[in-house]
Amino acid sequence: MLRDTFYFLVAALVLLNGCANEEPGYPSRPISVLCPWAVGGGTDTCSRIFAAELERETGVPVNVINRIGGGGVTGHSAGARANPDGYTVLTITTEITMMHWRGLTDVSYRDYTPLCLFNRDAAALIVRGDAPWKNLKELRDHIESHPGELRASGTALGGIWHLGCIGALLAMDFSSDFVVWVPSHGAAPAMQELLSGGIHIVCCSLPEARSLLESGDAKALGVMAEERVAQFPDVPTLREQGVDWALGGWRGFALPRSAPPEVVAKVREVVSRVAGGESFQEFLRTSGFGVSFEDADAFANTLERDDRTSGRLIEKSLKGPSDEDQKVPGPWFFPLVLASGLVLLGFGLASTTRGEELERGAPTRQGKGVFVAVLAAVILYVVLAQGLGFLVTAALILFVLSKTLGAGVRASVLLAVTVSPAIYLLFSKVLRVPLPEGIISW
Amino acid sequence: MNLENLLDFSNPESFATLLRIVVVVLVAAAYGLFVGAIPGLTATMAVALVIPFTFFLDPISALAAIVTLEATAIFAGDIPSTLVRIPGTPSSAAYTDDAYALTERGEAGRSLGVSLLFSVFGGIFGGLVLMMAAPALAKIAVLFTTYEYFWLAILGLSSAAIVARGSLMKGLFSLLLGLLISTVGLDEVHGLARITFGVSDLAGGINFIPAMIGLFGLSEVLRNVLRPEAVHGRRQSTSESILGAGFRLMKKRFAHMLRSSGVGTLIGILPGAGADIAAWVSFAVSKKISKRPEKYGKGSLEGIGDATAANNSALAGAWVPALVFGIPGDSVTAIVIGVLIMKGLQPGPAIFEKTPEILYAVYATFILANLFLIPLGYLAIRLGKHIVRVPRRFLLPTIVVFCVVGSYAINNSIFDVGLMLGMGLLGFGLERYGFPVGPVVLGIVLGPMVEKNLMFSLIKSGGHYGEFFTRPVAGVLGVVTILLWVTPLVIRLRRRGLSRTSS
Repeated sequence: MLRDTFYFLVAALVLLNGCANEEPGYPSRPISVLCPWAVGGGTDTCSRIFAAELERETGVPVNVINRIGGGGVTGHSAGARANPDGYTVLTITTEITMMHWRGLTDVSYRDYTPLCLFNRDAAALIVRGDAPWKNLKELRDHIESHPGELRASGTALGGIWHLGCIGALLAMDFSSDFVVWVPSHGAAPAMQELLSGGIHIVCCSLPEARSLLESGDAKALGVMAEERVAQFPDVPTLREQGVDWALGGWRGFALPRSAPPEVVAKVREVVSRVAGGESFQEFLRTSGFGVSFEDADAFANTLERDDRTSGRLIEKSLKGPSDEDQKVPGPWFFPLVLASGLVLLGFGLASTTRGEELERGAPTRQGKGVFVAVLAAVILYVVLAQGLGFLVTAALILFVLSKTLGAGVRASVLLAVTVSPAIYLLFSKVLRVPLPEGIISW
Repeated sequence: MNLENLLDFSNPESFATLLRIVVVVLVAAAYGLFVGAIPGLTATMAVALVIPFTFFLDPISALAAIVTLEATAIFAGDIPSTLVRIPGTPSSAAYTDDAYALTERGEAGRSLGVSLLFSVFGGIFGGLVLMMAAPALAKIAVLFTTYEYFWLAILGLSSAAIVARGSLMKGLFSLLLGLLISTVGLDEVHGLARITFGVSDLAGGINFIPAMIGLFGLSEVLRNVLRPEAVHGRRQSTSESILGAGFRLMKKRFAHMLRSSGVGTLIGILPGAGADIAAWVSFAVSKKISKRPEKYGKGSLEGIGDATAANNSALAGAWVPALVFGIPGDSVTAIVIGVLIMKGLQPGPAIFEKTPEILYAVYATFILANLFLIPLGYLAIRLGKHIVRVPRRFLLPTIVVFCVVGSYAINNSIFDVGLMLGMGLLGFGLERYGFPVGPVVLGIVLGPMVEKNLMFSLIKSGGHYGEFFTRPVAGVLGVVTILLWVTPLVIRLRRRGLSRTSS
């Protein structure tokens, strides 16, 4: 009995270690940067370097969390719902001004409090190095005489580069279907399609196409910026060539809108200092990201302006079925084919085999108990982890499961108090992949 | 500085460079093994986690670290895959069932020994190909557009039909189920949410990592607990040699190993397909031409070797289009391009002329990292093998926690933990009635590739199907694929017809 008490005491000590409650100014505990795009992409790289800089500046650990999928919908929605305590900083991108216009989500820029904008890249029109058009005017003439012939790509349907392409077409007094947009998973596959002759035009930022521009495999006919881009002085703007149009993608930092003003003020100060700092700017410059810094007010204006522009372009071009849509199978084509296949196969299987269970030997009573316990444990985690935190929930799961599997109380407790903190340390401290913190963290 | 200079030990400067690379490779190898062996953390994650460090490293060290990380992480994914049936990275999924079957027979050491040595061979093979033929091979990447990728994906699906053990119908059923699961989420072509039931977490689709952990890992736990412990107790042969089995198999199957590495490198070069698909295809090819295809899926060392050689060789393949065109071959090389640019090195033909020493360092690291993998991987296997001896009452709860954390970590989403649970139940149910789970996983991987390339192609061609055959590469791939699907069916129908007439 005395021993059991001892084990529990050790457990309590281990778990409560570092569970400090004082709150001396911001930041006093780890910060997360929530990135709405996949690991390894441009936004992710920016977020990770920013996190490293923020960590150096503040001395608290800063981890990057990726919430990906749905063309940015998942991550941006998660950001709007994040804890507004200032310890989750959101990376947001131009797509936030576009998604709600397309009816993909209710979340819009109004759900955020902007902190600062740190990067802006203008869209550019890029063609093959051996393409017959030497400048924008020749391309324009070709489109005018062959409407609907050329194919362009660069991002998903309704993505920022697609809007850039549509805006350019509209500014040339063409209709948006004069060039057919082929969706792609970003600029890189589009450049590959361009090289292999699958499409004629890529609309993306100049740095994204740099390798092929330098090797001469591709050439840029114009950039949709107010003035020429410093690293690409030879690429004229659209305006210089008589097309009144500019558009770019940007990245910035924000908090959920519900963040209280005193939190916003503190976070804004720290984040702007780091994002506008020499080291981070140097990284952006050397990595080919367009350096552009806007403070919170300017960023708020940008958000509002871009949201209006996106709305106008999307209303004009992407609403209602176009001719192309009718030539391509609808969104339910593929799932329906698969579902019918499944039903057919299911009937086939049902007629040939009669529910033969392959497992030999009836499950034991204890076995069934553990089976339910495992399911319950995972459900327990889903329900409790955000509130209680990983350490406590995992310890609970370990204890209950090993107990159900026949281990003694002492052994189960020992397992719970060693394995749970070990995994927590491994993920949160060594690998820097944050786990739910809950009531106990260190 | 060129390769000879780099290996010229009398030159103190190059010796220092080499020494630095060796240290970086050692540290990165240990880290990569660690991350790769943790379920839910991929090779891409391992590389992304060191991005902030690469900012402060010199270019050669940064690239050496990345090469080492991915090579070791992809091998390390085999360790949990073999021991507890949770693929450490998606690249291990193709042969998880085989590797785990060997563990249940007490041959975990042999299986992992084969994994290790074939991985090393594949990795070095890929590195050599990269070294000798990158500019020439890059042209292959450019031959592939959406039409070709569509056929490639269908070809990949056929590998599921080949891989499926037991009933072909059940294998197909699993495959279709996986494909259907892959259609959940936002449809990129029409911008419509499908099968999401209004749940915003589903808008991004079914996340692949938690699905895989549930289908393989949790379902195995569920199956395991229903059996009494005595039956479960795994046999352990203590006298087995880890590397001996690997070396013997390497000697016996040298030609197969070469072919598998070639297949892997080639698939790696294609920007639309990576190490995971390389492993599936190589496994399928291996089974197709094997004299003992019935053993595949039930613990075939041949299949494991061929698949694991392919996934490691695909890694170097992915560097080919990245270095030559600046087009990433997979998600790791996407990071590589970012790092190169950060260091003032723009990928493209110029990098081959202006800064060849950077490339020599990459080549050298591919070989060095894989050679270091032998002792380090051996150690990891020796350590890992003890897992099997942990009593079930401690091991299973820990596995459950790792399933939970692994599915949570990659996307920081509690929803994904629930998803993992659902997939675990699905996998349990499927296997109970003899449906394999491997094809479900393959369907989830390839579903988007099939659908998107079909749709993108049709948008390009204005709704015409002709171009799926008129482009030369697409035509060949298309015909091969159709033959591959139709021939066995015809043979089967004929056989059935014959047996019916004779009876």
